Amino acid sequence: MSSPGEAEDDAKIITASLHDSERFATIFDRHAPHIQRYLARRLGSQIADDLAGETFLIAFGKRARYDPKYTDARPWLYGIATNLVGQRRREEVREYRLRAAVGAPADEACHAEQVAEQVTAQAMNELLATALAGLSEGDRDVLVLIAWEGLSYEEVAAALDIPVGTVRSRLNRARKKVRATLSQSDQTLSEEVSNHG
Amino acid sequence: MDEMLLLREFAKPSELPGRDDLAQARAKLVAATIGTADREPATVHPFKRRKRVLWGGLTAVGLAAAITAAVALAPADNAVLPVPQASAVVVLRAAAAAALKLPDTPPRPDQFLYTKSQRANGLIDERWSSADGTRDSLSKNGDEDQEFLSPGCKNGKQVVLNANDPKLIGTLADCTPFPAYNAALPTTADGMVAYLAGQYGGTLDNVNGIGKDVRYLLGDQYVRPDQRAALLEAVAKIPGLGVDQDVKDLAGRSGVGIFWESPGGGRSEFVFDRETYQYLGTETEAVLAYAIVDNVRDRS
Repeated sequence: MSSPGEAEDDAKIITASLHDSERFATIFDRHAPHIQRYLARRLGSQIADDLAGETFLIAFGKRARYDPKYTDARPWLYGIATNLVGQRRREEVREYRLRAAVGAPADEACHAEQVAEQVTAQAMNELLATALAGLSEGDRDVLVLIAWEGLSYEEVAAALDIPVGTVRSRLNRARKKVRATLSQSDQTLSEEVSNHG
Repeated sequence: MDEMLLLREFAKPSELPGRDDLAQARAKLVAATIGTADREPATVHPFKRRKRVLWGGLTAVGLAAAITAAVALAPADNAVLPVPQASAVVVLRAAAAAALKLPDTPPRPDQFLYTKSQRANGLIDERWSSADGTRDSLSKNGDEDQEFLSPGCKNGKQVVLNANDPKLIGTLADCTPFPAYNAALPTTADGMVAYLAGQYGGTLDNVNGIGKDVRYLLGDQYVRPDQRAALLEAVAKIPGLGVDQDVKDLAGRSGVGIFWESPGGGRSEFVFDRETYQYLGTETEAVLAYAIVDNVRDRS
């Protein structure tokens, strides 16, 4: 079963919601899962549940300002969600560190080689958490929207309200910094593996 | 080494949430949408904008000093400083002057910054943030008594509270402390401009990023009066500022809004009390309390 709004693009629904506000629920149904998962990836699932709702309430309040030339509202929603993430930097870095600390569940009977792999994965996660925490907020926004959420350069530009050229330069800078953090620690990684292996 | 592939593997969760997980958020949205049809959509905007004045209308008494300061800020060789910018500068200078009158109560390392704020959905957040980042901080989010304990980071280690592997709970993990008070923040406008611009290529052009930093400093950090005044004076130097002379914040308080917009329609807005020029909050968060306390859960 599909509702009458299903076939319409987001811009038409948002425009229609100016007069028939309940139509906006269709925007939620289409995009909330991705927005909630994005927020969970950045802030952990508990905070994400709350902020996903807030993202759509803010979007609803701003719908009169939506530019109807964008037929897909998801980048716009990512932008609003990203602004909310920006208010919770502390929780974000904590989430990355926590994810690194949790690592993969240990298997007591596993072979030494698997232990080595696990240690490597754990150490790699710690490095990734460190690398992400070390990026400026603007660079990190661009990097995760592209790497995790699969947005195009143009979509990130629309989401963050920055020129495409800035998206490219931020992405390049962020990748370079992440690579530097990971490569600086190659030595540390191999030492840890040999100690455990 | 493909760092993008490694980053993708680091992204968790990988599954999309189900309908049940989103039911509560959807119900709140639907509740907000009901009954708003046939009304001006702006009435549900977090900032209820009755009138926008880009110039004029600044009737506050006692602004003479601020106006003088604003004029002094105009470049000598620029006789046509954009009017909205001049107006915003006046408000920000008044807010800076008001900040200097705030009590100067830098916290001891063992104290906490207590903040209470109201968000766009009407929910109230409370936070107790460790001044030096080594004590356990606490956040209470929303109306469901959700509490999040953030373990203090002592000597580079903090306790793991949540983990999929139960064996890790209670162990120590590497960490970086997040102090709620940074004594080293600049106390001059130029110093603060350099500080803000530092991570954005040395300019204030990245208004989105700068806006988030300013919001973080004004709301989530204890910033001493002279640092706060420097911060507001630094904001006055951001290009393209405008003034909403008549706004209401999320808590319904009347104020003056300082905003900047980027070409795509993005907007950062900060609201100040129209009488005292005290900082009230942003378009997504109204500051209700801001105090130094001795213990978590203390409110004054």
